[in-house]
Amino acid sequence: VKKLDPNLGVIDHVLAALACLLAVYSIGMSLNNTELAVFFTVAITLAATTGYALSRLVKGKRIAALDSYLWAVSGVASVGLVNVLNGILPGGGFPFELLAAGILCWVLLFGNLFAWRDQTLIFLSLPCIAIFGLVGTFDTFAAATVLFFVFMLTIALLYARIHQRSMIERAKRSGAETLELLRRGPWKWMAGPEWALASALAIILFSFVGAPVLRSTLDGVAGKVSVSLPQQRRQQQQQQQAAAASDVNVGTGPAILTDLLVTRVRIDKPRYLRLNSFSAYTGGGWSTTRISLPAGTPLVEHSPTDQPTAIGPNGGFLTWPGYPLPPFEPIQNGRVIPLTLKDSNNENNSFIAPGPIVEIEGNPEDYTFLAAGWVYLEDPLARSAVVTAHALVPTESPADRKAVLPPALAPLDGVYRSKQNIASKVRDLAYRATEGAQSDFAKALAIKSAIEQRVRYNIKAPQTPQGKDPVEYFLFESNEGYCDLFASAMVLMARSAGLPARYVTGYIINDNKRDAEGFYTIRMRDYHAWCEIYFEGVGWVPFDPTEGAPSVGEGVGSTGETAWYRSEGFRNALIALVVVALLFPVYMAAKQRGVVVDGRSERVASEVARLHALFNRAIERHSGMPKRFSQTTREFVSAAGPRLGEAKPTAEGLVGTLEAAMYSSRQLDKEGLVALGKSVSDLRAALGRMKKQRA
Amino acid sequence: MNRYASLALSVASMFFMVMAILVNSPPLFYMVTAVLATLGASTLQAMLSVRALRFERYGPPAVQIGEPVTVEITVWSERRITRPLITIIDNLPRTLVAQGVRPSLPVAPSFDQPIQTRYTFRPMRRGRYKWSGLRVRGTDALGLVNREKTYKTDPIELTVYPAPIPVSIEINPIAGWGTTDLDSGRARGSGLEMRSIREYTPGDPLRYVHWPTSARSNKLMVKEFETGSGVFLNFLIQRTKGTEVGSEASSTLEAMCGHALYIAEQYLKGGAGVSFPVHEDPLAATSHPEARVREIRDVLTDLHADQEDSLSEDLNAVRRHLSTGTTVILMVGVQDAKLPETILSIPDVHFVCLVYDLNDYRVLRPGVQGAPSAADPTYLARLEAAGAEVNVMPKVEKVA
Repeated sequence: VKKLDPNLGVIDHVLAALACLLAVYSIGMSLNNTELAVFFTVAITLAATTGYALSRLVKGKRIAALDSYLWAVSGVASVGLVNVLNGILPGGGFPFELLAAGILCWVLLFGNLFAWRDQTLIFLSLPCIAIFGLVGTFDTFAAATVLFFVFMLTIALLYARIHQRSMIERAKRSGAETLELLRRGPWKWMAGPEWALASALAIILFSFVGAPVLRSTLDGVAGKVSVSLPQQRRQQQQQQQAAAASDVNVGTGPAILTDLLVTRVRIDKPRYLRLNSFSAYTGGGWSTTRISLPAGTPLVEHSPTDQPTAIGPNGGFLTWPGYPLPPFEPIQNGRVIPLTLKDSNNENNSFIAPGPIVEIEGNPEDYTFLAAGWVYLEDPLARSAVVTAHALVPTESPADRKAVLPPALAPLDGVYRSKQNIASKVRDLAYRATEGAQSDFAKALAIKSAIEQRVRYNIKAPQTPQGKDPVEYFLFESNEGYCDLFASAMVLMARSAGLPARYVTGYIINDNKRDAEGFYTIRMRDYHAWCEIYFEGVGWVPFDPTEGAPSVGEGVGSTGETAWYRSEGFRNALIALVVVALLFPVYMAAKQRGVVVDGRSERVASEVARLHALFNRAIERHSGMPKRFSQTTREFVSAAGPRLGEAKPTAEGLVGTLEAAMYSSRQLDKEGLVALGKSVSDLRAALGRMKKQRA
Repeated sequence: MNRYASLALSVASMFFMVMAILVNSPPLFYMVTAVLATLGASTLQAMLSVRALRFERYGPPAVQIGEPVTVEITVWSERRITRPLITIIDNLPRTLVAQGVRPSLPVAPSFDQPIQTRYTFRPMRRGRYKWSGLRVRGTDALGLVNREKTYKTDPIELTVYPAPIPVSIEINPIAGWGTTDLDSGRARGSGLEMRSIREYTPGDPLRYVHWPTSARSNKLMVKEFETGSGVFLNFLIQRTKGTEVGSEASSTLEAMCGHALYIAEQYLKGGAGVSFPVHEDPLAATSHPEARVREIRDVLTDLHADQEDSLSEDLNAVRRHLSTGTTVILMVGVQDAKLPETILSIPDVHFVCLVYDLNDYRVLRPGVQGAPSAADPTYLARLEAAGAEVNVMPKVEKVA
């Protein structure tokens, strides 16, 4: 900032291009279209390079003034030819509902080509802001916030340089000769980089702290509008979900999950909320085994037309007429708990619940009860829907129960105890871990403990190398991973030990704070995987080995793969920084006021100067005469003397003391400084009293 | 242009806020706080930049129309804070027509040393101006937010004298006549001849010092000359309300004053007497040519078209001061119906009418389209018929 640069240069073009790159990259990534992001990143880099070369060619020529017109024409062309331009984009281009974002990207591309002057360059930031607005609205790219901060810093630097050039231009118009003279003279005391740095720091700190506060303050009124994700993204997600329902891979590398709202749930306490379960380990992931039950078994999936319509004790309709509990998971002495969902933004067709659903409100045709207690939604819940269901949860401890499937699930026993695709090392580990365990429950705990002691939780754990079993690699080589690997390892080891186990995905309630209506908030980052083992009479019991595992970077036992900047540690560090930032001005003010006097000569001189200024100001206020620059303090007091009345001798005496303090070779000691300060204060008080008396 | 960026950021923050609340999107909350914090920090900087300042201002007391005026402003911070650059805008009075106003140099005020800035302009209309106070405009380091604050200052005065506008016209004044001592002396050829010796007064040219007498009397004495021509010119300028036509910087009255000053200077140099009987006390006029020019300049500076009396009424009012054989120069733009008759009624005085064609000026001031121009041939014929020597003055594009 201190370096005065009168010319538009390569730095400005780089800053503008960087701002544009951040925007186009963010929109590409938020659409889950890496090809699109890379295309515009490369294209804008080339355009900016060409634009810079062109700006050098036309510098000082009249044609340079045409840049804004050229940009405007190309912008209009981008609108008119949007379909053609979108057609040449890789990755399918922008989805139809986001063609506006496509136009903005093209406008940025052409802008980098034609921005040859400050006036044009500065306006490149506007489409960028609009693009970031879209990215933020969809909230499908977790790094967007950080990139936006980088963007803000970039354009702030660009704005500062452009503003400085406008000031230099003004200085030239006013007749300033050289920048060097300005730097040494009238601009010598200009606020410099320390202001910019402090401002940037304050802005970032304020944003990081203020945004959550703002959001939690508005929590009651926010979120009334449901945003439909762009078609392309939604299709991909649906495809992923469809794949997830029948097949899911594990150990695929870090997953960045966002804060996007999934739903709000009112339930008795935070519990594991099931979404899907998987029975068959494929060697690289999990799939659902669909089996045919023996003829005559009533436990088949029912089609919507077979839906029971009997009204249950809580006013909803029942899963099975006259038989409130799904027979797939008989739970003895279980407790039926209410479960209410609202503001659902998920696109899942499964109803999340902590146990088998026995009763649900609403239209029976909207739901299909599956034999295992799952409820299949014909359509994902609407944002405005508030649905209450009742789920059965166990009340008894599984500690003394056997891990045996009920007779109704006997046909699936081979599936849930299957040792297929389990590596021998994993089985051996399970045997060793469960040696000496007296009960099935003890075995389960031993396995859980063995995993927790063996591996670390790391959201940045790399992908399992090609050709390797992810669970084996996780337990014996990398020794780190995330929830899917923990859950998979637990299931496989449990099966190795003869326990019926399954792999379950769903959500856990990380944020224990309820809102005013008693709802917990569930976000994308709460997505989780865990192991469930069946205990006779208790049902499927969740085991989460991430709970006791040490973590790398993220909190222990944390289940959501959240970004580092959302971690507790980072937030604590930020709060500490805020406190320091708030205390710093207080310290500086105290120092300036002389509270903190460290005895160094410059501090004494500074304090004397401050007292001198206070003295002059007091005389000015009382006498109504401004002190002229041409006047010494003594001349000023002499001129104002007639108006000072009885305070005149004191003032004249103080002038001598101040002159001695400021100009004599003997430096004032601490006592002298305190005495001088008191004298000035006394004079000010005396003048104040006189003024009151006069009034 | 940074202002537009600021506007865009403000709109963006509002948009982000609305969207953040509607969809409850965490990134939008971060974005909106970042933008709001940026605007807040910029506003704070801009506010701080214009607070607690003191100013002193210096400028020349008097200039001629068109001469550059440099106003120096000293600024001093009353707080020990560093600030972004500020710009100072002086409260020039609206009546002061200024051209070529150069902006003041942006400065960064300092606590312990005065910082100077200056701006220049060219006043384009005569008058005496007085103003006080100034405005300080501060921006943040990004130039996003502007804040202005008005400060009181000591008043400053500026007198803008008319500039002589050269003109080539044929005036044939009657020579060798006069009623005053100065004018009624015998015509002694075309040269200037010494009449007496008097004590030196400031402004007298040193070349007229009479050294032998000065040595004897131990005081500076100068030679006093008698006009050789006996020419005496009386200027009457049309100053009736509504008769000034044209733009503020280039009006008929400005042209008249410029021409009058030029003609007066020329004749004073030639030893003639010059008077503005309506606008000054003829008896108070100084005889010294250079001092007389300064007096005339002062008279013309204060001349405004704000009187109810017409030119003919002015002429009637001063007719008793018009000695036989003197020349009266009437400067007229708008037709004065009684003027020819008034001229006709005053015998033994040579009238020269300098007529300004309103069409040369009036396009700039459509409000006075209806005023009849004195350059109308019929009116000119009436003036000539009354015995006046008529000169239609060329259009004056610029008064300086």
